[in-house]
Amino acid sequence: MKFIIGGAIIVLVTGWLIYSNIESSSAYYLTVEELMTTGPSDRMVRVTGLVVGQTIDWDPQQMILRFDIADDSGSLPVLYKGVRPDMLGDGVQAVVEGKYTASGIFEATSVLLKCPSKYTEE
Amino acid sequence: MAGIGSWALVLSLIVSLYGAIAAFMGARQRSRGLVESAEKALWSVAILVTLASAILLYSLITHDFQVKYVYQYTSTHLSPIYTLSAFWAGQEGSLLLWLWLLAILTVIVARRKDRPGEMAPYLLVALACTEAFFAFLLVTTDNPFKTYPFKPPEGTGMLPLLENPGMVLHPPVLFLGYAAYTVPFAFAFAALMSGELNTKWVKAVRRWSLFAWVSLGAGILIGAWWAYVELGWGGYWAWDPVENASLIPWLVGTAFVHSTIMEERRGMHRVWNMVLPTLAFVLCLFATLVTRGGIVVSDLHGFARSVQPIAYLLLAFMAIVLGVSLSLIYRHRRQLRSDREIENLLSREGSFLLTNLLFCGAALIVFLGTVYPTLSQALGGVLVSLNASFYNRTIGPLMIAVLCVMGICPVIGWRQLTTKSVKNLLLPTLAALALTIVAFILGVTELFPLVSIAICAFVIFSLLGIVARDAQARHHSTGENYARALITLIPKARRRYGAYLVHLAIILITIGITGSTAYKQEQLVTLSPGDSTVLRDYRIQYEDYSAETLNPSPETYQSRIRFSTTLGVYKNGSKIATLVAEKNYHWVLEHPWVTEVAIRSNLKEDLYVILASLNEDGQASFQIIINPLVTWIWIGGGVLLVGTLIAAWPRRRAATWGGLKCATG
Repeated sequence: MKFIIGGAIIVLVTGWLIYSNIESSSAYYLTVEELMTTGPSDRMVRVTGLVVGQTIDWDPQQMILRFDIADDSGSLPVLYKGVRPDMLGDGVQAVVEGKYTASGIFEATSVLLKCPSKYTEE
Repeated sequence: MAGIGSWALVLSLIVSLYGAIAAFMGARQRSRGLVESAEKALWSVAILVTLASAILLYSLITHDFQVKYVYQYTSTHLSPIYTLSAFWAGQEGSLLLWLWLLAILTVIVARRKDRPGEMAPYLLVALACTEAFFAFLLVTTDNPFKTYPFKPPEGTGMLPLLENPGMVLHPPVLFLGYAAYTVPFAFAFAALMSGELNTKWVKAVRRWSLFAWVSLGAGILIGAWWAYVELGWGGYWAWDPVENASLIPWLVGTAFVHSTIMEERRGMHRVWNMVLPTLAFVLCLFATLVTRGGIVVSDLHGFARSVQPIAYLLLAFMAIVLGVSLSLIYRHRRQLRSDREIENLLSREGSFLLTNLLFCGAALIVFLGTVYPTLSQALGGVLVSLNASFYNRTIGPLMIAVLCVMGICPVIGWRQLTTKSVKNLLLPTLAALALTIVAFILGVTELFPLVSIAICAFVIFSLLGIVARDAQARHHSTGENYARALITLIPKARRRYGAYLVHLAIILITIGITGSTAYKQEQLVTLSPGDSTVLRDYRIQYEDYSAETLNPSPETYQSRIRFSTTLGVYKNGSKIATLVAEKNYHWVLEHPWVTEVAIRSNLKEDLYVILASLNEDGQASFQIIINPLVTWIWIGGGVLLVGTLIAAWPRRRAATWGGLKCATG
C-alpha cells in the first residue's frame, strides 16, 4: 500500500512537472502571415521562412544583424543582436525565435538555420 | 569486391534466419543438434559480417569511388584516420557497424557456457532475429555496397563537421552500447520463453547490462564533447532530439542496472527486470528512428527530412518486440511476483524503487518532449516545439532527487530505517549545510548553484563516511592500519566500491554542469589587429590574421580557404597561451562556412573563443566565453568508465590477482 502511494506521488510529481512547464516552454511555429494577423505581442514565437539574400545587413562593430525572412505570405524584417551565423545566406531556411514588436520589426533572441549536416545525400 | 560484400550481407540474412529457426526448433524439441547447428550459424554470420565490413574498409582505404558510399563520404584529401571513420559517416555504414558489433557480441554470448541451461537456445533466437532484422535493412533499404557503373575520379568528401576526433570515437562507442542492449533484452526474452524465471538469469545478465550502460553513457559523453569542440556555440548539450534519442535508453538502462541488484539481493523488482531491458532495447531502435527515420522534427540536425522507408521497418520491428515481450510478461505475471514486499519506504528497498521511478520518469519526460512537436503537428495541426527550459525545469528537479537518493541509499539498511543509519546520515547533512553556508558567504547567492553545492557535498560526505566506517571496522577486527585496511577491502567488495566510484563520477559531472551553466560569462567584441579586450581577469590581444587555400584541386568537401586569427591570452600581465580561432570557407559545400573554435582548458575553466566574422582589412568579431568547470564533465566520464570496469571485472581474474598479491606479499 505504502508502495502504491509512493509510486503515485512520483507519477503525480512527474506529471505536474510536465504540465506546469509545457505551456511556458512551448514555442509556436507561425508563418509570416499568421504573425501579421495576430500582430505585435509579448509572446515568444518562432517564425520560419527563407532568408532574403539582399537584405542581410551585418554590422560587426555593433554586432547587430538585420535580415528579412520571407514565405509565400509575405516578408518580415528581423533584428538580432549577436554573432552572424555561418550558414546565413540567400534562400536558407531560418527559424527565428523572439517577439514581434510594435515597430513592425521581429526582435529575435535566437536564429536557427536548418543545418545541412545531413548524413545522407538526397 | 563490392559485389562480394553485398552477397555476404544477403548470406548473413539467410544464415541468421536459419539460426533463429534452428535455435527455436532446438529449444522446442530439446534437440542438442539443432541448437549446436544454430550456434554454428551465428558463428558464420559473424564471419560473413566481418567479411562485409572488411570489404567496406578496404574500399574506403583504396578510394574505390565506384562504390557509392565511398564516393559520398570520402575524398583523396582525407587523412587515413578519417578515411577509416567514414565507415560510420553515413547511414548504411552505421547500420553495418551496428550489425557487426552485434554479431561479435552474439558469438561471445553463445560461447559462454555459464548461463542457465534451458534458456540458452532462446537467447540465440532473440539475438539471431535481431541480426536478421539488421541484415534485412542492409540488404533492402540501406545497402552500403551500391556501385556506380563507372568509377568517378574523386569522391565528394566528408562533411567538415565530421572531421573531428570526437566523430572517430562517438559513433562506434554509441553503437556498441546500442548493440549491447540487445543482450539484456535477449536474456529477458529467453527467461520468459523458457520459464526459467529464477534469479539466475539476472546474475548472468548483470555484466552485460553494465557493459551496455557504460558504452552508451561514454558514447553520449563523447558526443557532447564533439558538440562542444566542433559545433562552436559554446555548449555541449542542447536537448536536441538527436541527443535526447540516445539519452532515453541510457536513462532506462540506469534504472535496469539498479533494478537487477534488487532481484539478486532481495528477489524483488522482477517485473521491472523484464520490462526495463526490453524497453532499453526498443528505445535504442527508437534512437535510430529519430536520427534516420525523418519522423521527429529536429531544429539543428538535418539527418533525414522526409519519412524514410527504414522508419516503417523500424516501427514494425519495435512493435513486434514490444508486443511479444509484453504479452509474455503478462502471461508469466504470477511467476514474476516478488519474493517479498517492501516493508518500509525509508529503506534501501524503498530507495531503489524510488531510483527506478525517477529514472523512468525522466526517460518519459525526455521521450514526450522529443515526440511532442511531431504529436502536436499530427494531432492539433500546429507545430509546437519545446525549448531547452522545458527539460531543464522538468529533468532538473528529478535529477536533484536522484542525487539525494544517491547519498542516502548506500547508508541506510535493508528493510527499515534504523537509528544508526539516521546518525550516519546526520553528519554528512550537517557538513553539507555548513559548506553551503560558507559558499553563500563567499558569494554564491543563486538558488541552483546553492542547491547543487549542498547536494554534491552531501553525497561526497556520505560516501566518505561509508568508506571511513568500512576502514574502521576492518581496523578493529584485524588490527591493520586504516590505509592498509582500505586497500585490502576494495578488492573484496569491488562491486560496491565500483558503484561508489560511479556515483562520485556523477557528482563530478554535476559539478561541471553546474559551473558551466550558472557561471558562464560571455563577451561579443570587434577588434582590429593589435587591439585587445578584457574579460574578467583575462586580457585577450588580437595579434594577427592569415588566409590560405588548402586542397584546391580536385574540388572536394575538403577544399577550403582557411581564415585564421591568432590571439594572445594574458593574465596578470604575462602571456599564458596563444589561441588560433578559424573560419573555413569550403566552397563546394552548399553552406560553405565552418567555424573552428579555439579553447584553452584547465581544471578551473575553459576560455572558448569563436571567430564570428573577419573583414578584408583584418577587423574581426569574436565571441569569447568563459565556461567554468567544464573539464570536470569529461573527467567524470573517465571516472565513470573506471568505476564500471572495477564493478564489472570478472571475479576470477581478481581472485588470481589477489592470490598473487598474497603470494608475493
